[in-house]
Amino acid sequence: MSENTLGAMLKEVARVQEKLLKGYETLLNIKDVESGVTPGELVHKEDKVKLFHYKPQVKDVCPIPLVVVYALVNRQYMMDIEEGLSLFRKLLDRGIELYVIDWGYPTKIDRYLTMEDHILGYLDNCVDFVRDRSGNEKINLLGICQGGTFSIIYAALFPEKIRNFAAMVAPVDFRSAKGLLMSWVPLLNPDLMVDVLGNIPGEFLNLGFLWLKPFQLIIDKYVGLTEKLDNPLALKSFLRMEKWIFDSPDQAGETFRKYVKELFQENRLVQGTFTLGGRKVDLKKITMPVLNMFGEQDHLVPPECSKPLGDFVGSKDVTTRAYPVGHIGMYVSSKAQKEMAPTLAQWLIDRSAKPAPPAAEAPRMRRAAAKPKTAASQKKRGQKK
Amino acid sequence: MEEKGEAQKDFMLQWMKMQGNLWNEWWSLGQEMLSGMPAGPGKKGMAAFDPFNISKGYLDLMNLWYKAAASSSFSEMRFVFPTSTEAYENWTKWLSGKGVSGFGTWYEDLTKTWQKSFGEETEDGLGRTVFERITRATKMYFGVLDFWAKFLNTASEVTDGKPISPEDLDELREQWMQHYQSIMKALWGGIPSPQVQDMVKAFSSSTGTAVDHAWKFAEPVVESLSQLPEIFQKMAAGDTAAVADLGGLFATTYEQTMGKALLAPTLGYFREFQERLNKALYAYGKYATARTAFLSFLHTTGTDAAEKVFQRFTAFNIQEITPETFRELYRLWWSSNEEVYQEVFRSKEFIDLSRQMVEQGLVLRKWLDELSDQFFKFTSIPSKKDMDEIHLAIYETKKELREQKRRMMALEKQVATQKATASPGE
Repeated sequence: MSENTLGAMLKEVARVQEKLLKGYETLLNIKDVESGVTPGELVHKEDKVKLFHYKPQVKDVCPIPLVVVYALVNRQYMMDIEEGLSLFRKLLDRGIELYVIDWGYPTKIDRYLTMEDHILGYLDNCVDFVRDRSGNEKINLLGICQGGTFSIIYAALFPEKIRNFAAMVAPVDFRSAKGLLMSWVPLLNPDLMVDVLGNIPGEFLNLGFLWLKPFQLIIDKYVGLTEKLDNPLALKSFLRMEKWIFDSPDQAGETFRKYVKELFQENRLVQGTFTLGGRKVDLKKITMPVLNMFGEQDHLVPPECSKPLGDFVGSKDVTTRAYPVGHIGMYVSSKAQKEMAPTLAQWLIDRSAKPAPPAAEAPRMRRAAAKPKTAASQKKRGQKK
Repeated sequence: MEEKGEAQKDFMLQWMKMQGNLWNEWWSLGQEMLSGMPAGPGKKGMAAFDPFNISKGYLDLMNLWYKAAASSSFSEMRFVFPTSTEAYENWTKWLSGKGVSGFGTWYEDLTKTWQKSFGEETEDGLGRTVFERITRATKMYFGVLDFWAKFLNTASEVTDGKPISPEDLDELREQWMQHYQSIMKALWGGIPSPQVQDMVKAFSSSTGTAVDHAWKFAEPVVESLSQLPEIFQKMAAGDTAAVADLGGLFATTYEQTMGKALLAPTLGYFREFQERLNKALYAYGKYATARTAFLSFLHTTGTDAAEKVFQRFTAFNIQEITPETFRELYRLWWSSNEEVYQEVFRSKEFIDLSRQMVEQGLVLRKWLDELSDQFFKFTSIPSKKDMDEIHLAIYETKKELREQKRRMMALEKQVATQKATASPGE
C-alpha cells in the first residue's frame, strides 16, 4: 500500500478516534435528557391516558382552546423537544391555550384496548373535559400523524363538539405507490401478530422505521455525529431527538389490528365503509373549518396520503398548506416552525371568535350553539406555499 | 466484582502487548528504512517499507477495541486511542529527523491515561446507549475505509499510472468483489450462513433406529448437498433466482426428513407436550429456512449494490489521496447502497421473503408459548393463556364500569336539570 493511501486512511481513522474519545468523555456523563421543555399541568387522567394543560402567558388569548392529539406510535414531546424548536411554545406565545393528550405506555393489561376505546372513550372524554373546564360548547382540535387519523374519525362522529379542525401529516388515504411504508403493509399479518404477541412491541415498529433508510439511519447518522461530539450543545440536541426516536410505546393489540387491517390494508376510511363502535364514519360530516398541513418530502406519510383530506370532507372552508420538509421536519425544522406555527395560530384565532350569547339562558353543555350572526361562509379551497 | 476485575486486567495486558508489538513493528521498519538512507528517506529506504504489517497491526488493535466496546464490560473502552494521532505524528517527526522522545515516553503516557480512567464504572443511560450505537457505526465506517484503502492500492498496482484497458477493468472488478466481501460480511454475515451449516449438520446427523430408517433421512440430504455448490456459485455470480432455489431446496429437504418425523402423530401420556414440542421444532426449521432465504437475498442485493458503487467509482476523479478522499468514497458507498436497497425493498420478492420470515417467526413463537404453557400446567405459575384470560376479564370489567359511570353522570345531570326546572328562582 502506498504511503499516501495508508497515511491518508490512518489520518482519517485517527481523526475520528480522537472525536470518539471526546464524545466518550462527554456522553458518559449524560444519563438522560429532558422530555419536553414547556411546563404543563396534569389536569385529567384516565387509566394510562393523561391530559396536560399549557397556559399562554400573553395577554390576548384565543377564546377556544386547542386539544392536541398525537400518534400512539411515538411520544408527543416531539412538539416540545427543545427551546427554540418548540411548537407548543410558539403556539402559546401566540395566545393558543393547549390541552395535550399523552397516551402513555400500554402494558400487557392493555392488549384488548380497541380503537373504539381510544377514540370514543379516552379522546371523547378528554374533549368533554376541556369543554367543561373551558366553558366552551366546542373546542379546536389538532391531530398529528396517526393521531390525525384518529382526530379525523372523531371529527366525523362528533362534529358538534369541534369548532375548527387542523390535521398535520395525517394519513387519510392509505393508498400510495411512493411510500415504502405503505408498500410494506402487505407483509403484515395483523391477526397473527396480535394473536401471538398481544401488544405489538415498540422495538418492532422502530426496526421498521429504521429499515426505511437503513444506511442513513443506522450507520451514517452516527458517523456524522462524530463531527459534533466536541460540541455539547449540538450533542444535547441530537440526544433529545435520539431519545424520542427510540421512545416508542408498545401498540395495544386490538387497536393495532383494526388500524392496520381496516385503514392501512383495506383503506376503508376514504371508501366510506369504516365503522367505529357500530357507527359509520362519514367524512362528509366534517363540516367545520379544516386546515390540512403536510410535508412535501414526507417519506413516512407521503403527500398523496395526507393531502387529499380536503377532497373527502364536507366542509366549505378547507385550507391546505404544504411545507418543503419531511415528517419529523414538520415539528422540528426551523423553516416549518417559522411558517407553520404562525399560520396555524392565526388560522385558529380567525375562526375562534366567541359567538354572541343566546337570548335564553340554558345549560351550557350538550346543546347546539346559536349561529354567530357575524359569521360569513367562506369558500377557500386551494393550496398555498 | 473480582471476576470482572480479572477480566479487565487480562484485557489490559492484551492491550499493552498489542500496543507494544505495534510500536516495535514501526520502530524496526523505520530502522530498516533509514539504514539505506544516511541522508534521510529515499527510494531505497521506502522499498523496505512494508505498510501491510503496520496497517494490520493497527487494525488488529481497533478490532480488539471494538470487541471490548461491543461487550458488556463498558469500562474496558476507556483506553480509546488517546495517542493514535500522536503516534503517527511522532513517526513522521522521527522520519524528518527532528527527533522524538521515543517509545518509552509514548508508552508511559498511554499507560498513565489508561490507568487514570481504568476501573471507573459507567452507568447505564442515554449517553452510554448512544455511544454504543456510535461505536457500531464507526466500526462499519472503518471497515469501509479499510476496504477503500486496499482497493485503491490494488487499483494503482493494476493500472500502474496508465489508462485503464477493458482487461484492467475486469481485473479491477474482480479485485473489487474480493475486497468487498469484508463489507458484505460485516453487513449481513458470510455465505453460507451459520444457520445453513447447522441445518445441513442437523440433517446429516438425524438419528434413526435402524440403518434403513437412517438412510431414509440421509438420502434426501445427500441429494440436496450435491446441489448446493451450484446454487452457491450462482448466488456469488449475482443470480437472485438462486436465492429462491436455496430456500426451496432446504424447505423440500426439511419436509422430506425432519418434517415427516416431527409431524408424525404422537401417543402416550405426554402426548400434548410431545405434539407441541414437535410442532415447535418444525416451526423452528421453517423459520430458519425463511431467515436463511431472507439473509441470502440481502446478501445478493449487497452484491448488486457493490456493482453500483464500482460503476460510480470508475467515474470518480481522484487527483490526490487525502483523508477527505476517504470521506467522499465512504459517502459514495453508503448513498449507492441506500439507493439499491430502497429499490429492492419495494420488490415483491423482498416483501414475500420478509413476510415468510416474520410469519414463520411468529408461528415459532406461538408454539414456544404453547410449550411453556404445558410446563406451567404442572406449577402454580399462570401461563400466557391464563394471563390473557385475566387481562380480558379486567378489560371487560373496566369497560362496564366506565359505561355505568357515564350513565350515572347522565342521570345526575338529568336530575339536576329537572330540579332546576321544577323550582325556578329558589
